[in-house]
Amino acid sequence: MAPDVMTIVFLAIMAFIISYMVVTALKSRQEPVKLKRTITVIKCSSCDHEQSRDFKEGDFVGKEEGQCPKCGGKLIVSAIYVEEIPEKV
Amino acid sequence: MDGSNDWASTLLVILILGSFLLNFTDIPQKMQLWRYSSYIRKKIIQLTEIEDEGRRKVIKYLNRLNVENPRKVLEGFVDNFFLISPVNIEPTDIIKRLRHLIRNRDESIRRYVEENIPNASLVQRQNAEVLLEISSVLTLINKIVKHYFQLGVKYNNWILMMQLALELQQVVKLAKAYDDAMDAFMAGMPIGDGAGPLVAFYLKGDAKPVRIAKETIYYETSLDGRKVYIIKAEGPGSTVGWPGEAVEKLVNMLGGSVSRIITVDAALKLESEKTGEVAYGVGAAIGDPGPEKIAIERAASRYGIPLDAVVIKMSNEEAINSMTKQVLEGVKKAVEIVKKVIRDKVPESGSVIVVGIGNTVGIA
Repeated sequence: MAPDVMTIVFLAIMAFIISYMVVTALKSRQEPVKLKRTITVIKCSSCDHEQSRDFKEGDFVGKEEGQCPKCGGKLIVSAIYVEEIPEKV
Repeated sequence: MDGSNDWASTLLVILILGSFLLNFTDIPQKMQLWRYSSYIRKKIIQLTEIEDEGRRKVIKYLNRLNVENPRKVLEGFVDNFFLISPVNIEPTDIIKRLRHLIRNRDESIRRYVEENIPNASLVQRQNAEVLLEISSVLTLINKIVKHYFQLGVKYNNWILMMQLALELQQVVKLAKAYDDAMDAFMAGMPIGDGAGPLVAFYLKGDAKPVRIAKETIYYETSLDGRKVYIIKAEGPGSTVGWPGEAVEKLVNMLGGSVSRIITVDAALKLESEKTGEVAYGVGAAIGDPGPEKIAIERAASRYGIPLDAVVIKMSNEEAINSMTKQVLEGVKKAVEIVKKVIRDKVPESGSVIVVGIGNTVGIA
């Protein structure tokens, strides 16, 4: 026996409501976690030598970091910043 | 009666009943109240988790500083040290009174931290102060949300509940940003709000610092024949210093012979703006409650000194979290703009004051 129109309408409405709820629930969970890393930039105060490495606790902008391998000048932390690591596909 | 008449009459009955229920009863509002309250409950759980996480971070930091009972130190701080705004229906001296209250509060916090963390360095104590403040803010946010939620439930106020539910996404995002900011302060890393002090750092070159106000220093340097005085908070601990008082003192020290005062600060961007955009305008770029800003304005107006503002745009979350690459790019642009303003608008052999406003954590 073929289902009557009311049953079809009821099922269609139920299917719409359930799929809407599932999509909403999935959307709220899809918060991508962004990986980040902190970079410390070190520059020579006398020449144009510049290097960067991962941040170490105790680093601050203006901290002396030894001697320049190029000219022997003072190496100074010139910037500390965070950048996002691009996602691998 | 055939089948089509049957479903048509059923549909009509459903429509009439549905219309009656929707228009003449509180059922839809009750259902919304139930929906919103269930959503808010979930968000309150999330806020509580963020608050607890924040507390764990503070306790971890205090443990690292060999504090005997870090939990007690934290509990003694949270909920205390509030500030009651001065009377404003009588505005005479309100700035003086506000400055007095702010400094009293700062002093009480400093003393509390000194008493409870006696063996830490100044930088560690300054960072601990901020961590305790953030923990206090997280507790306050959670309490306010719970307060409105419980009011909504108590009085079946579905409008209040709906407003709260709609605001909560932003509130949770802000709380999360505060929680993340703790990592930056624990590690002593520069934050977005440090854009102003970083501009000052780049401009100072090799100049030596001179203390001018509490936790505030100035440098004397030159640029193409112009004398440049650079003011910033004393780093690398977490402090904003007293830039207003510093500008006032420096202008008086120079007898008012200053061609311009340039303030550089981080500014909240609009959603359509990009992080790191730099804008130039007139006025004192400083986001304090009033006393520091008015001190700069008064010093400038007393001697008729033009007041310039350079701002680096960023979101609220970026301002309190570790400095991003985009903000750093903005800082570099701001340095060039400040130099251009000095070259174009300050006469040769003239002098200019540049003030890097903001929290100098991680910036010497």
